[in-house]
Amino acid sequence: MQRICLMTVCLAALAFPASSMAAQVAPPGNSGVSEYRESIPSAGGNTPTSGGKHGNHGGAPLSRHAQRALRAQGPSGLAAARLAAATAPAGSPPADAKASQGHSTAGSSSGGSGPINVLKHAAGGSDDGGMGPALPLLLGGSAAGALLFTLRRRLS
Amino acid sequence: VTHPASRAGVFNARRTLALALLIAGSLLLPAPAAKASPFTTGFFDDGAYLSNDSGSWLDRTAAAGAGIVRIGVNWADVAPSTQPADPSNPAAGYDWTAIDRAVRGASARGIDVLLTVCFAPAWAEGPNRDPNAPAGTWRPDPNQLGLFAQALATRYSGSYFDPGLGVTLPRVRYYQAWNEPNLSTYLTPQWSSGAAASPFQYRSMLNAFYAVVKGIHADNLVLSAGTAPYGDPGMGRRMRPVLFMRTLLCLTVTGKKRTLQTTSCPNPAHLDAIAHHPYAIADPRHQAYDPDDAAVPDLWKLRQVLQVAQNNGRVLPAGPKRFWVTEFSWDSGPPDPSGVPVATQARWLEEAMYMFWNQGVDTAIWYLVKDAPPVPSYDASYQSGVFYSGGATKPAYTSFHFPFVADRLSKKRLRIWGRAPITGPISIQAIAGGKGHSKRRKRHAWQTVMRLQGQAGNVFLGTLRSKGAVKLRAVGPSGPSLVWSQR
Repeated sequence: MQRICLMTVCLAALAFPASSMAAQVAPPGNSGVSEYRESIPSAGGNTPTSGGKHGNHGGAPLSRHAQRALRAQGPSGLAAARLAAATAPAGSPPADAKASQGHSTAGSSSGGSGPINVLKHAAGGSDDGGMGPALPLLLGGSAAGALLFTLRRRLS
Repeated sequence: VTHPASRAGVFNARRTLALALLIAGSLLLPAPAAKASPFTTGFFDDGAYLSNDSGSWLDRTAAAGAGIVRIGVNWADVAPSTQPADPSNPAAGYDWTAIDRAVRGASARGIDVLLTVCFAPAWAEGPNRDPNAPAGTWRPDPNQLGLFAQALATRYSGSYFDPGLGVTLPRVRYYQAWNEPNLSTYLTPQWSSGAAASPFQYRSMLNAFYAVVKGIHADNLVLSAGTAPYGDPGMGRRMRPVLFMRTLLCLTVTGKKRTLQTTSCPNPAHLDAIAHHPYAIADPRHQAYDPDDAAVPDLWKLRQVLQVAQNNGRVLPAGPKRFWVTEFSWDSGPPDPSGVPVATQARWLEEAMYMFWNQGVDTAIWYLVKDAPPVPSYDASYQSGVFYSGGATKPAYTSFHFPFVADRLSKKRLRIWGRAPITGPISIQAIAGGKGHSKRRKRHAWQTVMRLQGQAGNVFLGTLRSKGAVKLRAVGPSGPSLVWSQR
């Protein structure tokens, strides 16, 4: 039974390949130039993370202040900033923008942590790479299987 | 309990001991091998060199120690709007004004010129044009490109007298066929009927270009176009550079180990050197994620493809080929708010040069001698100059002029690498790194750990015994390099 559960989870994971999950990262200072962006694998879907003016409007997860502070730390800081940009969920606003928006974003479709969005995210996120409603069904099925297996072992 | 003052004394004593060991160790080593090899550096900046103010920027370029400038020849701009009767005649209605000025200005200052031809006039584009293709990119006619190359290489053959100017124009030895042909920005279509198209189109263009340029002077050097570093997944607007180069050179990969195999090749590519543009999304040590993309540390991928092609007659003529980097750079802030700090830009410039050299590159061309204006924005323009737009130098000026890098070979050994700006003695100096030294002490603590003879434009190399953090610099007749901090 354990093997069946494990195989089910593995097969389900394989059924949703991550090949389409790629972000594009531009060289520092050139987020407005498309020629030299690198497509890199990330959890954020295949939407470019930095397309707007100065690379911090609707894409970069770090505030301008945080980016500047990281850049000042040299190569390692810059690498950290790039990694944050590359692996951020698509469309996540910068931290300072989130703070200034207060509660107004909680129920919006673009982000936030309201109950509707939590359910939406649980049902697969907002990008093309999500598993949709299959994820909660799969998790629920696995939990039920594990529960049944445990009960059966205790009863026998 | 140890008194703080005595603790500091012990600390400084340790630092002094470490530096003494570094000096003693280096003195025990034999003199560095005289592995001097030419390493040419230069700039590509049409905004500066094709402007009316090109003279002042060429003066600064010469002062920076550049041996070459890359000049873009926009075929569509130079050529008349209708096809001339004899396109191979330099006097057939072409407008050479800006190119002449740049070539003559560079030549007068002893700087070599690389001419890069790109963008076809409408009358030289292929049939069935995609209306969305950028102007000048659609299947450029290889025969027409050859005729234009003949006009260009004749004009700059060194014996062409222009009656209008009343002068014989200087000779140009270096020619490059097209720019970044793995991007739709410069060559379309990239794909056709579900297969790669641009490498085949480009091979015909390159071979036509090669034949006429070499026909004018057999010792002219023809470079293939510099490839852009990254492609798109699937059949996007950008083809990955290693895939492009493989297909151009009639190779393919098979199996999990990606073994290179030859394919049929009725008309192999003709070239003297390949070129690449390894722009990086982070520091120079950042490797491209995809096996067919190529950032700074990945040039070996292209070198490997070239080597296999050479061994199997997939690139002609037979014999060794050179490898150039015809564009690389990082934007700095200031002035670009999203650029890297100017000190970081300077360090990455010289580190990238070392990494190029280490992978067989013999010529490296930095993109922009001066910052471009932020039009339409900083993020859509380049502020990668070694000069600010007003002419003041950045730290990158020094690292371009006198690049000096240390590379840890092991816990106890450091390789030092540099390029001598002028001929003369060079001292390698060291100071123990880390905290614990007052500013005053630091100023007076440089110790010479190696002496060698530099040759202008050549690489110098050495090995030092050194453990732990250390700061190094090279001092030559023209002054010191930037300080290299090594962990």
